Amino acid sequence: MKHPSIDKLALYAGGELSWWTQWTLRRHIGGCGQCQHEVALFQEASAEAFEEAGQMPAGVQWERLAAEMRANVRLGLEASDAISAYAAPLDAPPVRGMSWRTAAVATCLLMLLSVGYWLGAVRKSEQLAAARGPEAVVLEASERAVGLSDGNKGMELQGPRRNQGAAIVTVSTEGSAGAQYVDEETGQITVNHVYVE
Amino acid sequence: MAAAIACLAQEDGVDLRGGLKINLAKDSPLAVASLDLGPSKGTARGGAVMLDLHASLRLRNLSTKHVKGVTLLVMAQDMTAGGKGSVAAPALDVAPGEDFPVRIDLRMVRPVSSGAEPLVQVMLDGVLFDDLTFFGENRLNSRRQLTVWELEARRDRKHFQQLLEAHGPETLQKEILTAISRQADRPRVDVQVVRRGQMPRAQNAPATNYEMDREVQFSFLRMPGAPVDLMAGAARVSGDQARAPHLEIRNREQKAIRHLEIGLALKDTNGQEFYAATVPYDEPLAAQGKAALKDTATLRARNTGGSRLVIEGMSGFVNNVEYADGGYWIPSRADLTEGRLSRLVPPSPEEQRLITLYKRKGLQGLIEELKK
Repeated sequence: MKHPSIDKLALYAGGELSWWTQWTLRRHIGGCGQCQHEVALFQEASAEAFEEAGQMPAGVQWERLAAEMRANVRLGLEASDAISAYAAPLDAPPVRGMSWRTAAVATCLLMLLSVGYWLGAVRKSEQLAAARGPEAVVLEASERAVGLSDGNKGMELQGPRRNQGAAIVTVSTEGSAGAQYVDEETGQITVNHVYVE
Repeated sequence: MAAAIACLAQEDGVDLRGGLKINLAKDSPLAVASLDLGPSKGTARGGAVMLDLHASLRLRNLSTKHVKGVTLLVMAQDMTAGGKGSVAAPALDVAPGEDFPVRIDLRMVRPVSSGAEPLVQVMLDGVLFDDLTFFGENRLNSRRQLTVWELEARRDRKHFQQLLEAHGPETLQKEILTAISRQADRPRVDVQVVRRGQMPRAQNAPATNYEMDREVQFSFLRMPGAPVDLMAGAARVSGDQARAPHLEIRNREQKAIRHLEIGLALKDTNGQEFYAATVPYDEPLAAQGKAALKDTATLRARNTGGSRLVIEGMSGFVNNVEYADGGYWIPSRADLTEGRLSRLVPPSPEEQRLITLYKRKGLQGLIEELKK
C-alpha cells in the first residue's frame, strides 16, 4: 500500500488541502491504521499549539499578526535585493573562471543548502498546518443566495433569477443565514435559510 | 440514484431522476400537484458531484382552511456539519383546493457516495392556517416564524386599510411610495456568521495593518411597547467583524417569556447603518426576570460586490417575543415610526408583497387587494 507523504498528512490534519485531495486522503486514512496514527499525532500537536495560543494577550489576533510578519519579511528581502543591485558596480571586472573541481564542490554545497532549507520549510509548514485545526463552517447571506461551506463541501439556496436585488439578508448567531426575496413578476415572497447544528 | 451517480461519476452529465424526493406525511394537508425539474443538472467532476437543482413545485391545499404560510425543509445527503436548508413561502392566502408554487433553487458540491439515498430530500416542516393553527414536524421552529410573519402581515394590512379608509387613496399611495423609497435606500450588504471557531480570512483583508479588536457597546433602540428592556450589551469588534455579542435583558411583563429575538444593526465608518443579524434567547425568562445572553458567534459584513467595510458601532432592538402561554408580541406600526427603527427594521413579507403588487398593478390593484 502506498501511503501519502508526511507533509500531506500534516496538511490533511489541519484541513489545509483542497477538498478533492482532502477527500481522497480521507478514503485512504479511513482504512489505514498507520496513517490514522500519524494524523492523530498532528492533531494532538495542533491542540497543544492552540493551548499555547490561548495564553497570548487578549485581543491579539495571531492570523493577522502572522500575515503582517510574513509581509514584513518579504518586504525586507525585496529591499535587500534592491540595495544589492544598486550597490553593485556597473563596470565590475569580469569574474575569473573557476576550475571544474571548485565548480562541482560549489554546486554540491548549494544543493545541500537548498535541500536543508526545503526540509526546514516543509517542517515549518507542517507545524503551521497542524496548528490551524479544522476549518469553521461559514454561513453567508447575500442578495444572490444563502449558503454554508466548510471549505470542502457546501450548499446554497439561490434566490429567484428575476430581480435578485430585492433581498433582505440576515444571519442568526445561533447558526443560520436567511434571505427574503420577492419575485417581481409573480409577487411571490420566498424566504430561504440555511442552518448548521 | 446515488449508486447510479457513482457509476456515472467519470462522465460529465449526471442523471437527476430520483435525485430529489418530496416526503409529505400521509395526513399532510398539502399534496404535490406537480414537480418540474426544468433546467436542473448534475455535473460529475472526478469523485464529486455538483448539483444544480431548479425545482418548480406546485402544492395543493387539501385542508378546509386557508393556508397562510409554508416552510419546506431541504436536506442534502452528506451535507457538512448537519447543514440543512429551508424554503418558506410566507404572506400566502391559499383557499382550500387551490394550488400555489414554491421554487427550490439549490446548488451543492459534495463527494459521490455509494449510499442509496436520494441526493436531496424535501419535507414539510410546517403549514400555518388562517386560524393560526399549525401542522408539521416543526424541526426548524417554523411554527414560531410563520406565526410572527402572519401577525406582521395582519398588522401591515390593517395599517394600509386604515390609511385608505381614514385618509383616502392619495395617502395610501404616499405611504407606499415612502416604503418603496425606504427599501431602495437600504445599504446593500452581505453578512456571514461562524457559530464556532474562527472566521476564515477574507480575501480583501489588509495584510499589513494589524487591527486590534475592541469592546463596542450597543446602543439600544427603544420601542415604547416592547415587553423586554435591553439593559446593556457589547461585542468585540475588529475591522469588518463583530464577535461574542453579550446582552443583558429584563422582562417588563407579568408573564413568563419562552423565546425572544433581538435584532442587531451594524454601523460602518462611512456612516451607513444596516440590519445584519438576530440574536435569539431560547431560555425561559420569568415574569419581570433578568437574564444575560452570551454568544460565541462571529459576524462579518461586507458591501455587496465585495468591497470591505469597517464596523464602527452596533445597535440592538427587540424583534419579537413568544410568551410561555403561547402568545406573541411583535412591534406595532407606532413602535416602528421612530426614524432609525423605520430605516433599520426590514419590511415584513406582506409589506414587500403589497409594494410589489402596487408596482405591478398600480394603486387600483392595491386598493382591490386591501378590500378583500
